[in-house]
Amino acid sequence: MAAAGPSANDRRNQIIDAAMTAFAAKNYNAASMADIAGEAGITKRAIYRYFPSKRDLFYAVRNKVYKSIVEELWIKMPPSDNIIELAESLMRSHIEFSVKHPEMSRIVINTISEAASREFQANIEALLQDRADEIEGLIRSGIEEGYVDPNLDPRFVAWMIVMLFFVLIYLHAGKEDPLIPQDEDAVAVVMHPFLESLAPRRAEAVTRISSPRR
Amino acid sequence: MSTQRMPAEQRKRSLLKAAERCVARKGYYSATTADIAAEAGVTEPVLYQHFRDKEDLIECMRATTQKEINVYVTRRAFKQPSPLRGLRELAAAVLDYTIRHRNKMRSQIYAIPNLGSGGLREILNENIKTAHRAILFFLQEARRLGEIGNGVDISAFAWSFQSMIRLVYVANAMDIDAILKNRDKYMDIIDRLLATVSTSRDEED
Repeated sequence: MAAAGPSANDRRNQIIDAAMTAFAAKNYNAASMADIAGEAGITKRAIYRYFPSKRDLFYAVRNKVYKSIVEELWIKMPPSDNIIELAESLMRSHIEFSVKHPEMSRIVINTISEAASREFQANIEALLQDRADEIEGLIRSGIEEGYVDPNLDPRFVAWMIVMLFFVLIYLHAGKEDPLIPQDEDAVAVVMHPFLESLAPRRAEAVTRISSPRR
Repeated sequence: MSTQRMPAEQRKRSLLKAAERCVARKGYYSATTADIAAEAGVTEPVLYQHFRDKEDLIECMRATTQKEINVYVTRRAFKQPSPLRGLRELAAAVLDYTIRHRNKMRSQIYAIPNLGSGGLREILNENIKTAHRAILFFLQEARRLGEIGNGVDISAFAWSFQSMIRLVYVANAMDIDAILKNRDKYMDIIDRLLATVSTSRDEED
């Protein structure tokens, strides 16, 4: 419109948004560069000026999704440093996020599926590592304050929690047909037993289950 | 690279195996039918005699594995002396199967990108609902035998339990060894989870 045209950065973002729509509507394979160009209202050639390949474009989309998740969910975390409360509210906001942004949650699912390729792998691990580090720190302070069991391995539990976020997005990715009952408190009900189980352990109850009864 | 003719069933199985290896190595999108055919030592047209397209092949791979894992897991779970032990065994069996068949188990997750295309989504939903019913069955038995308290919302707990099992699928697809290489720690969390509903903590010796 303006004689100068959109800046390179605007154009880049415009392409990324169009690609997100296309990748979410079809999937990585089925969405062609022509589809994306059509969605963005520009030529295929123009896209290749910004992204050398479809794969590069997909990386850019994925990075944008992860950045949005970090910004919307992690930076706006409630001002609590109780890991039990935090994990619960984070899980709830992950579900809200996947309901609010169905296209982004589809991209997240696509990312899981593409994890086998080595380039993705290195990339994702770095993204997740940061989350795991943060949670690990919170678990450690939970142990110090006495509401998380010191027998637990904080690193391991941190990874369990990070993986649970993905499971929640996975179980909720089809908004039309929610698998878990999706009322407000579903997360609290569903996740509560796990979080409760992190409390200092009642050792006997645990061994009674894990060792066969006589 | 034998050019010998194989019986159709055997050929199909060798193509499924080849698909497992290619997909695990390259990812769902990058593994082409040409790669898979080459891996199986046949030409692409041979592949297309057995499968309609790549999606069909991957779905067949997923369904075969699903059947296998269901049989393996339920067999182990039903051998246990009590329902709660059975539930514990269910989680252990999924983890053990995953550790042993990492490539195969990836195919369970790789089918998901086709979420948009109705059919698979329905299959996956059905899969998750079936697992829910199985977990619920053990919980109901446990309640009947007084292993878990009456105050427990067993349907909610079943979802919670299933999330812990699905987590193994995701960790495997994303190669998170922190989870897969720590069986004891994983089982400790499962035990703790079961302890939150178990009545045995109230028992006096």
